[in-house]
Amino acid sequence: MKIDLHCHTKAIKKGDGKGRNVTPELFKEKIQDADIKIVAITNHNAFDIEQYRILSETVNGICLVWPGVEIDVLEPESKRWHLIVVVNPKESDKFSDSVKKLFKNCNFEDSMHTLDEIYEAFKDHDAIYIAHFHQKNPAVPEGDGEKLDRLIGEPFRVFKETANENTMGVFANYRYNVLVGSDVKDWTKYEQCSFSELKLPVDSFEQFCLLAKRDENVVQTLLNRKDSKKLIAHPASNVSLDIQLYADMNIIFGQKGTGKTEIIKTLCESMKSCGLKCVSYIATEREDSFKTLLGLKGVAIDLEKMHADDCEEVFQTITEWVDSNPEHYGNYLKWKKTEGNNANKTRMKITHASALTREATENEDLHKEDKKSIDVIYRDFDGINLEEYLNEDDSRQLRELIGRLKTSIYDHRRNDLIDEQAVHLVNFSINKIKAIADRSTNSVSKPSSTGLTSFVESRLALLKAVKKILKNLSVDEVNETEKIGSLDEKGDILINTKYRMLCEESKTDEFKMGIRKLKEVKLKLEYIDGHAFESDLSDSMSQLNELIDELGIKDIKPFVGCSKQIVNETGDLYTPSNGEKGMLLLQRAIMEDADAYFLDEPELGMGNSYIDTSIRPMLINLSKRHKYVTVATHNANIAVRTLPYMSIYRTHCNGEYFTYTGNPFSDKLVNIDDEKDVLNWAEESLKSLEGSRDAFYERKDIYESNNT
Amino acid sequence: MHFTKGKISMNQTTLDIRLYAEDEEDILSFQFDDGEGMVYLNSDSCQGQMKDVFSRLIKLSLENDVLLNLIIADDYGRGLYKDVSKEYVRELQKELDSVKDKIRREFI
Repeated sequence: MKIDLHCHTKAIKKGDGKGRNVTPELFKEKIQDADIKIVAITNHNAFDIEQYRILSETVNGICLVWPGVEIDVLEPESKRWHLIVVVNPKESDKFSDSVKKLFKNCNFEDSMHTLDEIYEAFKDHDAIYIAHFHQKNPAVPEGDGEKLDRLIGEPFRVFKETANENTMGVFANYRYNVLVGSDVKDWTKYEQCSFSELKLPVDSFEQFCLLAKRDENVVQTLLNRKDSKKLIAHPASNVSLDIQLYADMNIIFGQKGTGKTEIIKTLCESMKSCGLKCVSYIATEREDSFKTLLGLKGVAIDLEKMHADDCEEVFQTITEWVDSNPEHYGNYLKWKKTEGNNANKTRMKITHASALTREATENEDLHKEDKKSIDVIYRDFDGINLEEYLNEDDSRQLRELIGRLKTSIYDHRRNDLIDEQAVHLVNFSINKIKAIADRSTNSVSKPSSTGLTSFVESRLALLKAVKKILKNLSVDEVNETEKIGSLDEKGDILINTKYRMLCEESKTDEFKMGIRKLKEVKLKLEYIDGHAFESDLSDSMSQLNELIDELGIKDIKPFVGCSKQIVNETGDLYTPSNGEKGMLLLQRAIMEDADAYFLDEPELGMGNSYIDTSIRPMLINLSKRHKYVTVATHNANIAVRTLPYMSIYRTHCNGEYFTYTGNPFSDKLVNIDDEKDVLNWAEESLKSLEGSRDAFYERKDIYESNNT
Repeated sequence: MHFTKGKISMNQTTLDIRLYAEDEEDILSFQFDDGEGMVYLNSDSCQGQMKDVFSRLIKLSLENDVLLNLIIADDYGRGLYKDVSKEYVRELQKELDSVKDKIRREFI
């Protein structure tokens, strides 16, 4: 939840500027736009109780409003600085009196107070104190800060305000109670100001103070508002750890060689067994993972997308095809020799008949295809509840029309079949009668055909089948792209999955069964297409069918080559470096819609700036969406600045391994095997992630200068 | 003996088919432009030879209406083969006429 504990609502001093004056309407609008849940009114040297009440009422139910004041502090022989005092809203009236008393007979423009005077004024209040700090000017001098701590006596009531939220993030949780406020100068741009974010949402001033005090019960109560799961992790095969993960950020950190990767992997498996969808990223396995990403395992070939027919029927035609031979000339000789042997047979003109030949009826092929189509249409159509979309009349009319279309197509197809079958039946009858007559008369009838017709028909059927396959083998390639992630200055990076029929440019690894024999099959088909009426066609067909049989080809799918390439936004091939592969895989994992995310050393091979500006915000967004995000890391930006609900610290000493769990809110890490063994979360984080406390202090100025 | 093959029109061509005997073999010889198609009528391989003739006949009929013309050699005397060949060529012509359009539809 966003809070603003340094907010001006009135221009008091000359330097304040009119932009600090705010109407109740604008106040409400801007508080809502910025999604602020707690705001403290901290005008310079004054507290307007009437305005406080009006503004509180205006945003009632939207945002808590706490009373406060910003005071100029000047200690003897020191520099001027600013201190904000915010009190429990239940004490607003009393606070108003205290402020009036402190500033009695004072000039708002240049009044200064010592820390003793301020402490005296508010010592009986439930208050917190916020000193301008570091590059937030005018900042508290070190000695004055120490005096403030001594006077207040309760460290959790003293905060430091930094110049911006990035700096705040660095100081936060290293025993600095740090925040940033809007210090708004122009209310029309209020939502553009910097704000603090409370990881654990609080409901009251008291709860805020207890959280600052790291009160164990309050921290646990606030943590428990999020879903959690108790899972089992195995850092080694013979070791089991009970780990509670929250539907938020969970961090595993600690020394190298303590089984963090195994913990991540086994937690992922444990989560999966709970039925949750999990994704994982293991940095050390990124090369293999990238290869897998570009692999073809699980890629399904969808011929519809390619507008291609599977050609199953025509492949069957090819494998079952047998050549038709001419009638033997000798059978004509036998007929002629025995022609006059039997007078009765001579009178049977049918024994002289030739086979009927049949011309295909007009559009016969079309009728055949349309019959197939209407069967599919009718089946799908039957599954649609028309009344859901059409009125009764339209539904009835549509049903009637589709029904009539089906009937008409069926009629045409039936007539074609009758015609075709009639010719078959006639020829069958002629041959049967001839055979019976020949048997009874010891003679041979005239052959029904020279064999030319069936020779042509059988080859035409084969040719049609081959042409259909070749036509489908020439359909255009289809490309499907899927974004993996983005790279700075290179834009979106995508996987292009290319589906194309076997062609000149095809490569071996596009095909499950290799390319050489498929090419042979295609060459044979092309040869047959150009030599359908050659007398030696049978030889070519035998070779073709041997190949088809060997490759187990039943349809055209084996000829569809599939490959994946990495391309940029403009479609040009792109070869990512190892580091970029990691970035892309990590982004892909994070962008995937899942319930839980398990990441191992996401920082490996990536710049700290990239981790902090790209990956950390994405992880925080996931945690805000109540996803389980578990990261094993050595990176302070991830481990600390994501404010994990659960920190799992692994360490080893003299061959013995220890596991501690805790969080930054309680600032504790407790040994899961010995609850008396308690470490300080901040100290261990500093040691493990930053190197040491000194290293952290050396870096703080760098953080500050980089982000101002 | 002299056999000729003459074109009747652009789309019509006559294919002469010779029936003759040579070394006791009865032969039907189809006079294609690119060489004869020989069918030895008493041979076991007669069917395969006829298949080769069919192939060439179909190629020819792709671009032409083919008129089959049986020519029996003057010195050929086997009546049975003469009668059968006449009937055979007649049947072949009938079938060729009935399938030519199918073939052309597929190729043109």
